[in-house]
Amino acid sequence: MQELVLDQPGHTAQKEYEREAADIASRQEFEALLPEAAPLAFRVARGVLRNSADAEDVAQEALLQAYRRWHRLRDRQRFRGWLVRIAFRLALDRTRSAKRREIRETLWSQTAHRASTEDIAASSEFQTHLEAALAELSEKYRIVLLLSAMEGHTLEEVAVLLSVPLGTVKSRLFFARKHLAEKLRCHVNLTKTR
Amino acid sequence: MPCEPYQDALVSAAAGAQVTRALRSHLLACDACRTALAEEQALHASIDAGLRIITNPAVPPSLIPSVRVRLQESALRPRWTVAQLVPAAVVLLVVLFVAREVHWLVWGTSDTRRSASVSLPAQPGQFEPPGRGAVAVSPQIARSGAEHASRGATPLVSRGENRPETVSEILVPRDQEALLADYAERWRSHRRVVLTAEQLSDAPLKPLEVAPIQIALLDVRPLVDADSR
Repeated sequence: MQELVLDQPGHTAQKEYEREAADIASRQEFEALLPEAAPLAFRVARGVLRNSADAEDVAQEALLQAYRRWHRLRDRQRFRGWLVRIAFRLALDRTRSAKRREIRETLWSQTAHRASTEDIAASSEFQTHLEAALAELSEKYRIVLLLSAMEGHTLEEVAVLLSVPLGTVKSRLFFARKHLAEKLRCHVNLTKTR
Repeated sequence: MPCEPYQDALVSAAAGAQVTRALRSHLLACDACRTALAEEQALHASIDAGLRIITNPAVPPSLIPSVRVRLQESALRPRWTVAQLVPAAVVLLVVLFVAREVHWLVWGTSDTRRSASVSLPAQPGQFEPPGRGAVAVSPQIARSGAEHASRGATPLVSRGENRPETVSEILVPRDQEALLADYAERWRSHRRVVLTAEQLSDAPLKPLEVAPIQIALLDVRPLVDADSR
């Protein structure tokens, strides 16, 4: 005998209510992670973009993207690594589009960018060369260098964040540091000879 | 200036590689290499300090509140679910279909194939409804028919009351009616039910074989002799 289930009028409303409740619970869970996740996204973006205002925009965008795909993330332990990748990717995209824009725009309009106090403080000569050398590194070396330089990140944590073996992190870090030293050695020598 | 054989080892050691026993014993004996290693280590210390400045900036206090606001906004924005998308797509398709039909009824030109096709009778004077057994004539042929009409020819196919108003007329000279009807009959016998403009490309047509037009012998009469006037 076939059993028929009738859709009662209140049934849809109940479903809607349950869905809204699940959404609210999900948002609260996500918001609870913000105090830890937002600085991480900001610092990753700042390491790539070298500009705090742009980094804040990218961090916001990365967090929103992460929230939109939050329900797809089964293993919540991987959230930090996931967010790092989103923020890094978005920051790289913005760098590329900024470069294209820079080419398009004329010289007089390039003065529109205003450096923050923090940017000015950090823009010593060596720092400028360091940032330039960092920007020349390939993505896989750069992200390892940035994450390992962030406070509170051990190499094991970096390996977990990037989902790569610890040995890979160590070798990439070694190569990246060596590359930076090669690029910056001449500037240190120049400073000494002055 | 460090000793040549130990130069790479010094750089690697400063970058974090393990110091080998040979290098360690050499460093005990060589002042130049010791100085070079110290300089290299100082460089790496500067790099590390610089990286710490880059990667640990103060987080703007507006960041978290801004994200919270944007999360709130995105939660308030209505979201399309599959249960809503499917009926919406069905309704859209129905509306499009109805609009197309209405357009065809009003303007009668929604389907180019219908407007360009025409049925030809199997026998002169005998008409068939369009459909099975009808021969559709391509727009090129229809155009040639229109040219005939402009030369004062009589219509072979007239649109009767039972014909849809979307079909064009072909006008052919009266003495060509039988030939064209014969041509249509031959197409029918080849089971070419419908020949549309699209089918022309993949099914090459045989040229229309039309018997030479019989023209009665002209009655030639000499002009009145101009000289006789």
